[in-house]
Amino acid sequence: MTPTRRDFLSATAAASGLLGSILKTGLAQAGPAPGRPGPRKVLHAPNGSVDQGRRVGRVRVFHLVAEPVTWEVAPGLVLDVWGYNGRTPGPVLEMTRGERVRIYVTNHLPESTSVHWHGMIVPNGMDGVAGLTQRPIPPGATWRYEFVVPDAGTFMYHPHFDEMTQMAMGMMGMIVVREPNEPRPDRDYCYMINEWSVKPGTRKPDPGAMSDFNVLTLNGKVFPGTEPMVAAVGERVRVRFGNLGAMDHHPIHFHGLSLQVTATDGGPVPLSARQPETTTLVPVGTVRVVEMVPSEPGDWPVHCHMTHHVMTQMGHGLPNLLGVDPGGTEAGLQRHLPEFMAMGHTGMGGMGEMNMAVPENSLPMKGAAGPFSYIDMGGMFTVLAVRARLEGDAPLGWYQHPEGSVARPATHEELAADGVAVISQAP
Amino acid sequence: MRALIATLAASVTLLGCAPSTTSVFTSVADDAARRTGHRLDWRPEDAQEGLPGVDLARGLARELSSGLTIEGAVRLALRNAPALQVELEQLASAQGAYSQAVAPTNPELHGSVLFHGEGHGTPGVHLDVTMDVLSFVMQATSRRGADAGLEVSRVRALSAFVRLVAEVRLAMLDLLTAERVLEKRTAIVELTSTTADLSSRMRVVGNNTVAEDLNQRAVALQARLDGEAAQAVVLRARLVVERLIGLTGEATVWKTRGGEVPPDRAAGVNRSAGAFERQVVERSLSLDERRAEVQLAAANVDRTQLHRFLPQLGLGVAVEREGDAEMDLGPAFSLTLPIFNLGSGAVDASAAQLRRSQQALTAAAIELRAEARRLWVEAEVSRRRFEAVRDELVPLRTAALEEAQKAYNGMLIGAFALVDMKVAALSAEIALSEALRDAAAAEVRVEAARQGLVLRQDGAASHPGPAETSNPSSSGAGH
Repeated sequence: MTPTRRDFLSATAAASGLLGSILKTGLAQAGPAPGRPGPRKVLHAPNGSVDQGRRVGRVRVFHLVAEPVTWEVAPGLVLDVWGYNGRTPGPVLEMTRGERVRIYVTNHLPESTSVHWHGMIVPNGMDGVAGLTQRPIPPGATWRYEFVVPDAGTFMYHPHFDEMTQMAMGMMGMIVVREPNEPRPDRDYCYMINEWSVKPGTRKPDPGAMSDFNVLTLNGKVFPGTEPMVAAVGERVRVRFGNLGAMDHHPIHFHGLSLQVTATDGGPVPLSARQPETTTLVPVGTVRVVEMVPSEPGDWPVHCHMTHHVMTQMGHGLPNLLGVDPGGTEAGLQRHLPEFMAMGHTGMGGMGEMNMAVPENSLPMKGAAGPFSYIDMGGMFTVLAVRARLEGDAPLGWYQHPEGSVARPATHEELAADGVAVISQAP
Repeated sequence: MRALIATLAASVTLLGCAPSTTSVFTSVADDAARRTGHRLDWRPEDAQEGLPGVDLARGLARELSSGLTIEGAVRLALRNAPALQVELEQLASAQGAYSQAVAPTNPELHGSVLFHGEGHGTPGVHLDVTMDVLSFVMQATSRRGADAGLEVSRVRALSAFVRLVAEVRLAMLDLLTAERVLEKRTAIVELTSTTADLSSRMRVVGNNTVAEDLNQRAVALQARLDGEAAQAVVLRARLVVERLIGLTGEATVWKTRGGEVPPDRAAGVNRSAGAFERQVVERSLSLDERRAEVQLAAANVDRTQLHRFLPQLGLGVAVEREGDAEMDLGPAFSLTLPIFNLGSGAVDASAAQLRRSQQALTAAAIELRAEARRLWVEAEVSRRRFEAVRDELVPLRTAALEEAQKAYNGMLIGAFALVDMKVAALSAEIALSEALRDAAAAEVRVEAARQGLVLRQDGAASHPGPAETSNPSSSGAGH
């Protein structure tokens, strides 16, 4: 039997006494099974926070603090970023159409900033464009924005001063405006999409990057750091996506259900304009609100369908070894590089599972353990956990499939009965 | 007749005062041992055979079979190097010349027989025996010159000894380093030939361009050429060691004990520059040689001045008998009359030679001090470079390679980039071997300077040009 890379790794790890630590690392990176269902009919930002402000007389008051933040994207990758109120994205600001809001912005950044209320039609002087509609907010200062919320919908906020740097560093957030007394969906989720350029082994995103973004986040997290959504069969689920990434649009794909785009940051989509979809494209600088009613229980992936966006810190420009017979080259290089393994000649699957030593503070090729095997994906990937019923508040755990409902190896008898001829092929 | 007997007795006495060859050799050997810790081994018997003696051959075989070390090579060279034996024979030759120089000239016998013709009786006989009286008068001057001449030879023999010790150490440092470099170059050749193989395999399945493949092959070829050059360096370094030690024929099948140059060889100069400079000047063999040359030139001046007005004066006895008469005895003398040659040219030449020797001594002292400071600086600089390469560059390259391996594990870089980092790490190890060699070589030069000999960077002894009195064994004679 030909030894596999995995065999080699096991032997090497055992020989060098590293197996214990590798196993420990592997356990620490077990995938995030769906957690508690949480309350219904409230706005929820997975991995994030929702801020409803506080009432002061007839005004709803918010306070955003723009500041440097240490942010864990997923276990194993911590970044030095900028955000609001200790996080990136900042809190979802939840308010009601027609009420007066007063938003204080304190600048704890090393440079000036401003805040633009993206999609909201506010008085021009409150639009937050430094230089055009206001002076920049200098470091250390606290400025006040105040306006009457004009429209219901889903919007965003971000700086309009040194946008390239400040947004690349994570300064952004979502705004949800409700109609007074509007009926709420059973589940209401809100995601801010962003992309970062972080060289593996570093902590600081590169604001100068214009391509090769390698950390693709949902609410500032990559899989396996993403918190799954939860819903029951038959519940109406609303998911709001806002994209303030620098360059990339994201086709967000839902497995196991059909959805409709019900609104953008420009307002509701008329019923007549809606169409069934399983994927919705969220371009840069836009909001897409989708709604669905799950009918099939299970753990359903939700992810960007750009394949590089479900990889974290993937290397590019590497020699293409796919299909190459390494012959004696692996042994030849191992003479001088004992940890060397030929990789990529049969594909790249399973690399993350090997838990080989990688640069510190990096997540290259990393996914997480799933209920059946390792999930190779990372990046912009999460799960919508649909259950037949949601009772209590206990953690859901992975979906338990009814017997006979999971794909399995075909038997010879089954193949023969169905007239399927399989030509045996050596691996 | 009594005068003749007295003269002969005096000559024997003077000859008895000349040092023997053994005592001169012992003096040099003791000095060599004090300076270097090694003993001289003079083997005049081997010169006739042209081959090492049985004991020496056994010693050679033992040293070579166990793998040659730096100090083992030094021991072998001191016992076996023909060049050193040449210098020792030169010393023996100088000692013989010394004895010749201080010996009085032999008496001269002049005689004549006068035949008076048929029937005129017994032929007359005239004999006179004279001796060069000036050789006695000049005895002190001749001895001074001979002393100086012998001292020059003694110093040159010592210098050859110290130089041989240093040159063997330097040659062994070169060889050990070349072997280490060859190891690393061989590893680079294996790595790059493997990546070239990988590249061609990629090309076969259409995964890389012709240009990429050609580049990998060129990289491998360049590495192979570098490897062959490193092999040639090893061979050349071996030949130098063999020449210095005197290995030929079957004895050239040998190996080093292997391993790196001992780091303590690059211990550095553990003293101040000023103290080192004073020590070098105090122990300098080249200055000793220059001083002896000054003494030699001064003796030559005295000799030429004395000979100027009295080039030759012979005194002795004359015996004469006419026919059957009684033998008459009386004094005899001979005298060269300085009428046409007053010897002023010889006096001027010797005086100029004396001044030249004195200036050469001054120049040598100045250059020696400068060379001592240079050695000190070079030893310090090379030691610091070695420590920086050892303590900083190599760990940096090693750490960078470890990070590159991690990046490769995460598929962040490819095999070619990883190999590039390994080659960079190996290059740093080559730099370490070379820096260690340079530091150790500088320390060998410092050690040689402390032992009395300043070697230039090319290994030659440093002194300001050869003096005219380059053959001290013949120039000290007071004739």
